[in-house]
Amino acid sequence: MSSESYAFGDTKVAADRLRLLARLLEPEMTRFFRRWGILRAKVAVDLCGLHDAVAG
Amino acid sequence: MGIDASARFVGMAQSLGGQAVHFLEHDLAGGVIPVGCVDVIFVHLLLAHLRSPREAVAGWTRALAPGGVMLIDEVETIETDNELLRDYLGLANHVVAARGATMNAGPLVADLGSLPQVAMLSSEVVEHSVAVSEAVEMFIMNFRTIRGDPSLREDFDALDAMAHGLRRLRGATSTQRVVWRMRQVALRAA
Repeated sequence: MSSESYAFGDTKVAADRLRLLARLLEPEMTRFFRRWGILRAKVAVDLCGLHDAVAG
Repeated sequence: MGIDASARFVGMAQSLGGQAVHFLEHDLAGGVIPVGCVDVIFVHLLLAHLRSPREAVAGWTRALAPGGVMLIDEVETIETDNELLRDYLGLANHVVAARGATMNAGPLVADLGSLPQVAMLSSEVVEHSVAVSEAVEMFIMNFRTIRGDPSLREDFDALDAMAHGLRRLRGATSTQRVVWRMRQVALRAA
């Protein structure tokens, strides 16, 4: 995906929205990671932006 | 490692991620991840912006190490009883669809069992129930971006009415909820 095709933008407001969305969705996302052992991974790649503090 | 096509987002993420996480600017639409032998690939709310999500997933699986796992977390549906928020969600869907993508990408990847070299471990839907007051904060942020989208420029009065309605809803006390139903798919490389 090229940045100009980001329908919801890549501005600071867009980043703040993603951060809020990540916070709202975090409980089930963390459960998903734990179920499949992501917290023990040596090399993990996150294919979408700003919630890497959770994924990494 | 975090990968994003936006240089601006990569810059923001680098400022937050510290030394332990590496970030890379890269366009993922071509189905290529420019690193190999990856233990875990996490795909979150990205397929909704791609024209060919299944093909992209098929390409990305080639970066997995043997036994590596890909976790996909995408919107199946977003549901609410609030009429204004339903209208807003219809608008957001329209903007994404105008680019040839599908905001609710979960159903498109619900069954990836036919992909070569990977086994599907699970595919299920989980629910997040969010108060309208929290959801509307997020929708207002997004509305600021999408109301300028070329696909919406024909109906200024309706957009102004929606902006006004969202601002009013922000201060309202409501027992209504917005429910995100998220498709979570896990794949393992052979």
